[in-house]
Amino acid sequence: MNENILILICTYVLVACLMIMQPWFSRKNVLFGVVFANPSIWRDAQAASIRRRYLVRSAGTDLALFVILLFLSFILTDEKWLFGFSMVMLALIVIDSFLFVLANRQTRKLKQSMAPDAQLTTKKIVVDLGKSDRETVLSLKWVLLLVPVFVATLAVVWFGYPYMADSIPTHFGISGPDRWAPKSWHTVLSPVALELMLGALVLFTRRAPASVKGNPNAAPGYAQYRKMMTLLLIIFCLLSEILFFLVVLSFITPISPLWFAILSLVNLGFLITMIWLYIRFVRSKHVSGPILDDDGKWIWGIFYFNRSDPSIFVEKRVGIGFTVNMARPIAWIVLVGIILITILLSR
Amino acid sequence: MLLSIDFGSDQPIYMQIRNGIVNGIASGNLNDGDPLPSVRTLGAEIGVNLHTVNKAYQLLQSEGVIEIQRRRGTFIKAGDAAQNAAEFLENCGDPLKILVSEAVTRRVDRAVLHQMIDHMYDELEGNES
Repeated sequence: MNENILILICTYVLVACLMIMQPWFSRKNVLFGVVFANPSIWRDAQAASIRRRYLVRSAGTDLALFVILLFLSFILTDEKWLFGFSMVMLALIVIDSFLFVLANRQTRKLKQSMAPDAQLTTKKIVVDLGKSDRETVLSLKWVLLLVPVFVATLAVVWFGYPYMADSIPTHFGISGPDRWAPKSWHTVLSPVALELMLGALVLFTRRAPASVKGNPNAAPGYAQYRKMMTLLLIIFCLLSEILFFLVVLSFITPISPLWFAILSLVNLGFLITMIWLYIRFVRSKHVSGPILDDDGKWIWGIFYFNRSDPSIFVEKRVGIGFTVNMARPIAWIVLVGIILITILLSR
Repeated sequence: MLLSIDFGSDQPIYMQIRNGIVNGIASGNLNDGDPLPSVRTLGAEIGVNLHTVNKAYQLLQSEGVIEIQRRRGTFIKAGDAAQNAAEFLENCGDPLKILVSEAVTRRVDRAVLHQMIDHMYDELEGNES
């Protein structure tokens, strides 16, 4: 088994674990994307049984797919296994999402069967007026941090193009580049396109509102958490930029693969920091006061669709990070753009 | 200072925002120089169209209650109290007259209205301390 296969199998295990743990990546008064007034829902016996069912089913599915993945690695060539890996990953996401939607429906039924809570309202919202954007939104100046390396990368591509080798490395394993493509503007510019995309995402998430509303204590400390997340995203972008800058440099002159390994490890560190931030500033917070019951705006508890909300990005209801408001045309343009760039780059 | 918005109310949301802020100033919860969230942020927090918030802010600005600075943001600026009071008295005559004539046609005693106003004053000024 070569080391690239090992890395991909590790990726599978990581994604599978995150999918299984999904229900725990939400506020304590949210269960499978359904909002309740009181965090005590987390200790409800029926809620626990819905959670247990999801846990058993998704863990079973992921384990079965894992066995298939290992089995395939023994009978297929590396090339064919890569295709098999993509299919298994797709199956993992589709099946686990289906199980999530199932759990979401069961939770909705559970909510309907419970006595309506006076703290849960569809008509009223209380917001804090006394805070300026300076306090709640990360300053645009931080985004300027991303400009120098971007310009440097662009300059290297622009002026260095004639000096680049005829085949360009497009994929990097632990021991350096392991896949190449013929030199063209399309290949050499793709790292620059990725940098632009990441930078744009930072701009969008700066103002993303919390996934649970109703009063300032519905998501206590959210503004601070959002600032930290945006800053984390900017640092992540900056490191990715440096990584891409080195990639572009490596088109001209060889760069020690150690650099790529270090930067990739640091990026893994970001995932851990993100989970820590989430647990510390979202999950562990005590929710109180009137809560806005907007389950209808969260399709299957996953997709946000709210015509009256001007936000393009909002905090995810389940899971760490942000998602788009599907009711906004710009959100669709952003989504299609991301998918298009990804498809174009993977070619 | 907390602003409460009722989606079920007959009063348009921009008026609710406007009234909330004016109430905040009257009760001393909002003072000159206090910052307000930007139109975008408030729109996202409440979950309403940016035009709605913008309309409220424009109205407040034209009433001389807030100041919108392009770079620095939006601030409470009730300004010179005496001038404001004069303007207020000048403008409030008509709506007050309508209210009183309605009270008269419905045979509501003037003492009741007086008491209502006293009570509202007490309530708002009481918040100040």
